[in-house]
Amino acid sequence: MTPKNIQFLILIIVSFLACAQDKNPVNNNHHYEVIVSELNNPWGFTFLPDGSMLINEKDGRIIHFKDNKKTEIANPPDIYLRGQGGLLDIELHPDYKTNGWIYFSYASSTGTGDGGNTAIMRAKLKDYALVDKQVLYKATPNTTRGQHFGSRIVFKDGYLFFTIGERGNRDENPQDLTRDGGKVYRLHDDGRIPEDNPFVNTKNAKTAIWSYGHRNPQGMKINPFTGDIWTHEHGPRGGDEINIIKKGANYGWPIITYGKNYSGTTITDQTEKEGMEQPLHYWDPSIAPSGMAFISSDTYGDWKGSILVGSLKFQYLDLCTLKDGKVVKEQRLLDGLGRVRSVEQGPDGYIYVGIENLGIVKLIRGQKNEN
Amino acid sequence: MKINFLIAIVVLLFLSCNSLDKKEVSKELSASIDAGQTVYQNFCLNCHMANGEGIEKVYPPLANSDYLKNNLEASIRATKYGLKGKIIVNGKVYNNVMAPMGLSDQEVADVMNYISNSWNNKNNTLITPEQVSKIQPK
Repeated sequence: MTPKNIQFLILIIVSFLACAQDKNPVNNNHHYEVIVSELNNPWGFTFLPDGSMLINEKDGRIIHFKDNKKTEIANPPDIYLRGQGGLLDIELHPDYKTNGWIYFSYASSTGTGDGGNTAIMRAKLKDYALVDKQVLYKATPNTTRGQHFGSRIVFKDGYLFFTIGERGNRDENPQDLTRDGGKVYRLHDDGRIPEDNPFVNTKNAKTAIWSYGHRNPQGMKINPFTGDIWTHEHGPRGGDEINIIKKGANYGWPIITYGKNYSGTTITDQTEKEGMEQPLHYWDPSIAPSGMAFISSDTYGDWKGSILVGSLKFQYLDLCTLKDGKVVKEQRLLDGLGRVRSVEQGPDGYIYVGIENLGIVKLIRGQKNEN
Repeated sequence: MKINFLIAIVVLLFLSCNSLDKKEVSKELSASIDAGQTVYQNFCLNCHMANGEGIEKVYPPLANSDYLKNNLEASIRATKYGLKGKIIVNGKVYNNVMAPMGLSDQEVADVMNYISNSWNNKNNTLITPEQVSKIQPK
């Protein structure tokens, strides 16, 4: 090889390494309608039976939205606002109509030590204020690290499931069952530990743990077609994952991963190991996933059965087409609109998307009819 | 020729990854830069990336940033209180939001000292917590 050739080759390699770009194609056959405008960071939102919405702003405000009118809910949880922490997810009890319970995840500084960690609270709504507040779980120890609170909440078979990220302490938390962080948890809806949780008989274990070896899951939904719990999590560089959550399973972080350190150095050379789960899908380059929804309504034609995942990093909604339980195709929706933080299918069958610095938009398939 | 070129590449890569020139840096500044690196990794790196390169059109670069060089006070204010709206960095427009991170004045000073002395940025003047405490939101 001549020096010139080598120069050229090195140039190609360097530029390839420098910009690992997301190659998912843009889909233009859709548009959107802004439903709730002027939100900063709608981390989580939900729909009340009367058609109104409750929206969690990360900065600690809960906003009630009905008939184009915003009302701030009084007496929200006391939050620890730092880094990625703040007021996070919101979810209604499946029997909300009967019992009125609303569930929140948030960063909290209660307990001993500087800093904060993820907490779960339930409360009821009365005259635009939270009442009957009960803290159901508070992870320990507090830490001043700013990252990886996790925090999505779902209900399945009457149980409350939620995620807590590893709080920036990957060497201690995710693989240690006696420590909080890097886990999916399961509780009764009133906070009691179910007797058949997988680690109730493990010495010193945090008995609320359902699965472990996670990094920072900011997406979790029940697959309405199978009943399984699906999560996605922020991995290291090139290692964001989708997983199906199984009782007692180890998802491998940081022993196995498809990603590298953000600096490009290696974390581990192992991508698989016996006794550790493989992801259903991983993103390289990382999209920084947040929020997830299955399209189960007939509103979107053959998009039914697909999942939608928000990308914080590249600012789009990732339409993931599934076939035989695998992601076979990805397309960019709402490309460049902003950091996509939360995704929900509303009671009307439409998809609603929470976007930072914009608000909540309704996704509509097909091009906009200009008339 | 071949070998010379390869050596040059290796040296260049080494320099580009190790841009902190500690020779001229005071002990106090050096300690603040070290503390600032931890703050950076915990709070900033997710968006501004490992070498301050940012993400094109979304998160502005901190490496070799003319904005940082020419707008020190505004940069400290952004680190302390967050930033919203249009800024121009190295000739490119960024129109986004950085939420306040909840950092103490000490942490703001440390991370500013780190950023100001990494990836070809240079500022030998120590940024102090007292200086940060005086900066008010706009």
